[in-house]
Amino acid sequence: MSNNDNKKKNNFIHSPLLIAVVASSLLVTAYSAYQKDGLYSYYNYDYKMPFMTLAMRGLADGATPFYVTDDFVEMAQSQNPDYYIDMARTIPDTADGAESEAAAGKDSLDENGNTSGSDNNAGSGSDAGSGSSGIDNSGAGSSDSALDSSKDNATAEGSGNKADSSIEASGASADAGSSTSSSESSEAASVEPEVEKFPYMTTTGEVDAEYFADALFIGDSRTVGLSEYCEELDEQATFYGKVSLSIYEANNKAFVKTGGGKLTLEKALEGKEFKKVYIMVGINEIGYGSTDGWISSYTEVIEKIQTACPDAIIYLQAIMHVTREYDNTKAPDASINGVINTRSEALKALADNRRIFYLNINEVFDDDNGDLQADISFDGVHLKASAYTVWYEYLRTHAAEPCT
Amino acid sequence: MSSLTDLVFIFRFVPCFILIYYIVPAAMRMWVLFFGSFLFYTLGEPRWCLVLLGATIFNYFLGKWTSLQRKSFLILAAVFDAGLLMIFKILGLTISMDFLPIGISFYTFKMIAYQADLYTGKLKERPDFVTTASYFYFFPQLLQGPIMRPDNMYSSAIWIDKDVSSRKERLGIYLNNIEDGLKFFIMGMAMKVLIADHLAVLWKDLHTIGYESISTPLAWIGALAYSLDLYFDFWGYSLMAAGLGVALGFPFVQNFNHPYAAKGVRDFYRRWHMSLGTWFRDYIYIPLGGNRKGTFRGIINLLIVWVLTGIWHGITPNYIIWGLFLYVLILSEKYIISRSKTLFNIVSRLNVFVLIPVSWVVFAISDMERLTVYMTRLFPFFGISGYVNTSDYIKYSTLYWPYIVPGLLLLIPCVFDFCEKKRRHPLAVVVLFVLFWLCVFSTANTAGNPLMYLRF
Repeated sequence: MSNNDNKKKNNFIHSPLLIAVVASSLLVTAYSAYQKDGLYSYYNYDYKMPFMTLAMRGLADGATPFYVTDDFVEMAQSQNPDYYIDMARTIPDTADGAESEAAAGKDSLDENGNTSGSDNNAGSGSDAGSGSSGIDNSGAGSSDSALDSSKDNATAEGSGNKADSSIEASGASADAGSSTSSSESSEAASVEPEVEKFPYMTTTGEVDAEYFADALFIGDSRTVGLSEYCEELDEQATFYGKVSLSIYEANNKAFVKTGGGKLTLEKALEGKEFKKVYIMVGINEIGYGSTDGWISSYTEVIEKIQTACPDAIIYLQAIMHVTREYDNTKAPDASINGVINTRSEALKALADNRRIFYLNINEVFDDDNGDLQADISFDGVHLKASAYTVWYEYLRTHAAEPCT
Repeated sequence: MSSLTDLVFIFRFVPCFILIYYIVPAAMRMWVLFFGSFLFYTLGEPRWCLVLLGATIFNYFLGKWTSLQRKSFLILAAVFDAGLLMIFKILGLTISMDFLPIGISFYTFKMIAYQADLYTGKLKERPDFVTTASYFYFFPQLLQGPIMRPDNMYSSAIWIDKDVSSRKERLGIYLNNIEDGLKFFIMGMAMKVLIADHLAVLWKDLHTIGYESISTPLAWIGALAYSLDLYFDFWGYSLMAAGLGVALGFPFVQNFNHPYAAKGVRDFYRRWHMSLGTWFRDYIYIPLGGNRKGTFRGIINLLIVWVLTGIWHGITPNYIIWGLFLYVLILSEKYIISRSKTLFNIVSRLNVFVLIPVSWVVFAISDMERLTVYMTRLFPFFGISGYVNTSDYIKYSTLYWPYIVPGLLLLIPCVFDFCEKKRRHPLAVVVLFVLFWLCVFSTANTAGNPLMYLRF
C-alpha cells in the first residue's frame, strides 16, 4: 500500500535530527569499540563510561581516525615500560655528550657536556673527599638532594668524611643509590684529572628580590597564582605559567603566551638568558601515565632548558600537596598525595645539587599529616591569594648562589 | 547516573528506555515508565532509594482517604512529606551532604501536590499504584524538577493511542515526539554544558582566590557570571527535562519564561522557576487566603511564602536572608513604587539587573563571614584589606567573555524565541547536531577517572 509506505518514509524524513544523532552515535561507538585496545589503549577502558568517550578523549588529546598528532603518540608511548630511563645505570665518563646521550637516552647534561649520571656524583664524592673548604654543602652533604637541610649546612664541615657520613645518615637518598655507590667508587677511583668546582651552594641567609630578576618560573595554575598574587616575584621574574599545564604539554606543545601567539618551550627560550629556572608541574597528570613516563618527559624539559641556558640553575619544586579533605572527597579509593609523594621522590633523584636542585616546598605548606594545610586553601588544591607570600619566603631562604 | 547530562544516561539508559517504552503496548507503558524511573533513581542514589519508595507507598495509601476529602489525612500527608524534607535537610547540614537524598525537595512537593489535588478534586480519580508511583518517580523530573502537576501527567495522549488507527501513524507520532523532545534536550544541554558549566569555573576561581583578594570590578563580574551560570544551568536543565517529557509523549512543562526581561522582582519570580512559584501560590498562598482577607493578611501570607521559599532552597541563614530580601523588594514594588509609573519603570529594571544578581550572591554563599567579605568587595566603602591584584578583572573578562556574551544575548527573549520557532528549519537541525557533539565532547573530557578529572 503505497500510501502507508509513503507515510513510513515520511516519518523518518520528518525526524532528521534523530536519525543524524543516532547514526553518528552508532558510528562513533563502533569505532571506539574497535579501537579500544588499539589507538585508545592508553585510556585503560573499563566499560564504566560509554564507548564513545574514548573517541572524544582521543580527539581532545590529538587522535582522529585519519590523523594522529605527534603529541598523542608521545603521550601514549610514555606508558610503554621500555620508554623510561634507567636512572641507576652507570655510564662511562666521556668528554662529549653525544655518545652518552645515545647510551642513556636522556640524561641531563651539565655545562661540561658530561652526563650527570652516577659518575658525576662520583666526581662530587671525590670532591668532597678532597676537602675543598667552602664547597662541601651542596655536594654529597645534601645528596638526599633536599635543600631544606639548613641543618646539613650547619653540621657538614669541610671534610669529605663528614660528607660521607651524612650520605649514610640521610638514608633517604632513595634512587640516588647512585650517590652512595659513587661515594664508594670515589674512594676506589678518585683519580680525576681535574677537580670539578661546585658552582653553587645553598645560602644560609636570604636572598632579596633582585635575585629573581633573571629567574623564570614554569608551571601550572599554582605558578600562575604565584605570578598574580606575589607582587615581588611578578615584578622581577618571568613566568611561563599555564592553567592545566602538564609535563607532557610543557615538553611538546606551544604553551608560552607571547604577543603573537604561543610558543613551545624551546622557541620561547631562544635568545633568553635566564639564570634560575623554577619548575612546578605534576598535579594535572596525577591520574595519567606512569612515574617513569613522567620523569622521562621531565628530564627532556630539563635538557631543553640546559641547552638554551647552560648557566642556569634549575630548581625542581616538589608537587604541592592537596588538602586531606580534597584527597578524601575527590579520590576516596586512592591517594592523590600518595601519588604526589611517589613522583616527587622520583623528581628528587634528578637533582645533582650542582646545577639542578630539588626544593621540597611542601615543608612550609604541609600540616602534621603531610597534607596541604586546610586553612590556606579554599578549594583544596590552590593557595588562597594571601598565602603565596609563604611560597615566596621559602624561595628566598632556599636559594643557591655562586660560592666563589 | 546522577544527572541528565551524564553520558551513561544519555547513551545507555535513554536509548534502551525509549525503545522499550514505545515498543510495548500502550497499556504497559506506565509500568515501563515506573520501572525505568525506579532503576534510574536506584542507580543514581543507591543509599537513599528506599526513602523514596517508602514515601511513595505511604502517600499512595494516604491518598485513599485524602481523595475522600478527609482533611485530617491531608494534614497528616502534608506534615509527613514536609517533615521528611526538613529532617533530611537538617541531617544534610549537620552531618554531611551525603545525608540529603537526591531530588527530595522535588518529590516531596509532588507528593503534597498529589494529596492536595486529590482532596480538592482537581485530580478526579485516585490513580492506581503504578500510575501514582510513576508520577513521583518520573525520571526526567526526579532529580531537579520541574514540579509537574498530577493532572499533567495523566492527561497525555500517549495513553490513549489506541485511538490512532494505523501503526505507521503511531510510529509517526512517536518519531515526532522524540525529534521534538531531542531538540529541547539539546538546547538545554548546550546552555548548561557550554555556557553555565564554564561560567561556574569563574565563580569557583573567585572562591579559590579568596573573596578578600578580588577587586571590585571582578566582584561584579563574578556576580554577573554566577547569575548567568545559575540561570542557564537551571533553565538548561529544565529544558532537558521538558524535552525528555515531550519525547515520552507528555506535555511541555515550562519552568522559565525569560525572567531577565521582567519588569521588577515581582514579575521576575513569575517567570523564574515557574513550577515552584505556582506550587507555592496554589498550595500555600491561596489556601492561606491570598489577598482576599485584607491587605494586612495578604502581606503576612506573602511573608510566609517567601520564608518557606528560602527554607526550601536551604536552611542556612543566607537562604532566609535571600527570601526576605526578595520579599521586601516585592512588597516595595507592589505597594510603594507602583504608585509612580516613571519611578516604577526605572526602579523595576534596576532591581532586575542590579539587585537580583546581588541577591544571587547572597543565595550562593552560605558562610556568613565570607558573604560579608564579598559584599564589601561589591560595595567597597571600607577600602581594601589584604593583597588584591587590581587588574584581575582584565584576565577574567578576557578569559570568559566567550561565555558571558552568548549568555547575555540569550537573555533577550526574541533570541531564544526565534530559535524555538525555527527549530524545524534544516539549518537549525545542523546547528543542533553540532551543538550535540560539542556538548558530548565537553562532557566526555571532564568526566573520567577520579584522579584524571582534575584540571588545575
